[in-house]
Amino acid sequence: MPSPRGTASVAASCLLLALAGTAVGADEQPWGHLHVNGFATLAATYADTDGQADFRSAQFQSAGSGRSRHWDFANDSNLALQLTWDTPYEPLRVVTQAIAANDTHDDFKPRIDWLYLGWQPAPDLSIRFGRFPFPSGMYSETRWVNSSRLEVRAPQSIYAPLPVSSLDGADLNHYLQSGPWLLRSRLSYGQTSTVIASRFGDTEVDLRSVISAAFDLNRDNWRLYLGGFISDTRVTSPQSKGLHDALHEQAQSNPSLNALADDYTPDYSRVWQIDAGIEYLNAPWTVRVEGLYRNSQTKLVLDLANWNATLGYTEGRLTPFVAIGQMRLHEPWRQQALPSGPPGAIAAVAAYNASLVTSNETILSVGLRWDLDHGLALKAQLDRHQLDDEQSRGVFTNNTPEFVGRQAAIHVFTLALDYQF
Amino acid sequence: MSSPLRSTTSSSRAARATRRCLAALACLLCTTAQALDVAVVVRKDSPVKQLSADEVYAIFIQDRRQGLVTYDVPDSDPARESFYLRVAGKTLTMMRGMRARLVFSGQARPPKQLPRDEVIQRLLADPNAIAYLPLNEVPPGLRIVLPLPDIP
Repeated sequence: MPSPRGTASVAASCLLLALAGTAVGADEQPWGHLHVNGFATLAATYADTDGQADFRSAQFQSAGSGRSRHWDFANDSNLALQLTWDTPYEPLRVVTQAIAANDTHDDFKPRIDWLYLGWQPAPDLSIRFGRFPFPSGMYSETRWVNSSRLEVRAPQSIYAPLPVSSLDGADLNHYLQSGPWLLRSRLSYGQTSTVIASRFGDTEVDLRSVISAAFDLNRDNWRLYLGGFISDTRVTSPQSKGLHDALHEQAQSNPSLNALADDYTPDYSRVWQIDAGIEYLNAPWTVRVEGLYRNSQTKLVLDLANWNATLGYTEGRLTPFVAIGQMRLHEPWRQQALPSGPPGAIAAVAAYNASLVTSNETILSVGLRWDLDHGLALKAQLDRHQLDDEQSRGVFTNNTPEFVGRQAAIHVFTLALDYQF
Repeated sequence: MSSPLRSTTSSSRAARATRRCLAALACLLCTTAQALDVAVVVRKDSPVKQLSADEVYAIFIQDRRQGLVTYDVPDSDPARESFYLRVAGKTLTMMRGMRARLVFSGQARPPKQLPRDEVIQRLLADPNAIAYLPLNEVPPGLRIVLPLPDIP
């Protein structure tokens, strides 16, 4: 069951949204124009993990349906307000997006996801300074806007493994129109950090010197996307630091452990990721395919080769859809399990071997979106998670040892009500 | 025992009732795209003389307005679904998702939404206003810059 505090927060947020709904639109004032938009999702999720693990929508979440609670109302619910202030000095605009959602400590509370100053020196050029969406995929800017997609949540194989959704720094957007073609190019630089909670303690994730490029080509019903980022990434937790220190110490007498210790370094390591996607929206069909490839110099950030495909058919207000996604580590982790020993390193090696879990799985989804009046949409979705590896725990957390490599599929049902204005 | 005739009659009655129920359900669930001819219109003295479908797409969907003020009619107005089906190939449901993506990524603002009567008033009052109306309901004082007839 959700905590009383979490339920109260969801209820309070819904009330806030209802009040905010009265302020829809743009108010013309001498000091500029203020545009108020918002979105919200109220979702209930049930996962049949037989009490062996919790289902989570994103990697940073630390609890969910299955083990911690029967039904989960928090992980897929959110409430957000976006304020856009077009200042009297026309090239300048201030945008903020505040979102209340379940955080890594299983606490439903608000945070500022975006807060940036936009400067448009030319009609086709804009620069943003401040906090803006982390450029990590085709839908990274609308990761939390559930009403913008058919599924109840952003495709997990693409978006769940990324614990951050915003970047602090600057980015440059350029639009190039040529006949029916519109190319949006985006270059970003910045840094960000977050904390991922688990039963073993908090893990700090710092990304610095993030450089990103994204190209979005639109024509009629087609959209092509290619983007990627490179960053210096540091992941530190008491557990990983203890492992690194133990391996490093034992490497004095067993140099073969040196390379292993370096894999768990508490220092910054290079991580890069490439995303590519294609979207076709032509009534009645919706087709979306997206994939990512991530490479990391530290074992604390998974090397991934994931993809997702969604197909929907809209008839009136109803859109049934199917989706399939796969999560794959492109490094053979199983071959890296170490034999116990040498003497003195038994504990460290055991800890290392225990940490060798993967997220390899296939997710098959079927669902229905029903668009109602007044910006509301009702969705029902059934996901079938099949762990593809004997060391996999998929997207789940808080798992028992028996859950790892489970052969029986896990079904997750979600009912969601989306709202936007 | 029921006779074959009675059985046939009741089964056809059941089939009719089923069809009626399905039709009622379809009406309830679906917003049917009306076969409505629409046109993009401006005031007669607007500097905009003619537009292509690509230009209308850029103005209304990609928010590349070039100084024009765009207006939408409500979802309940059949002209809206006809317009977006013809210009963007998207139903209202699909447009809602796409608009959410554009608005919440900060890439585009949606056109201001007003009832059809008010849209006409704005068009007549502002040479920079642009909107769409049913083709056969374009009042005097407005000019068609792109007709969008029904696509068979």
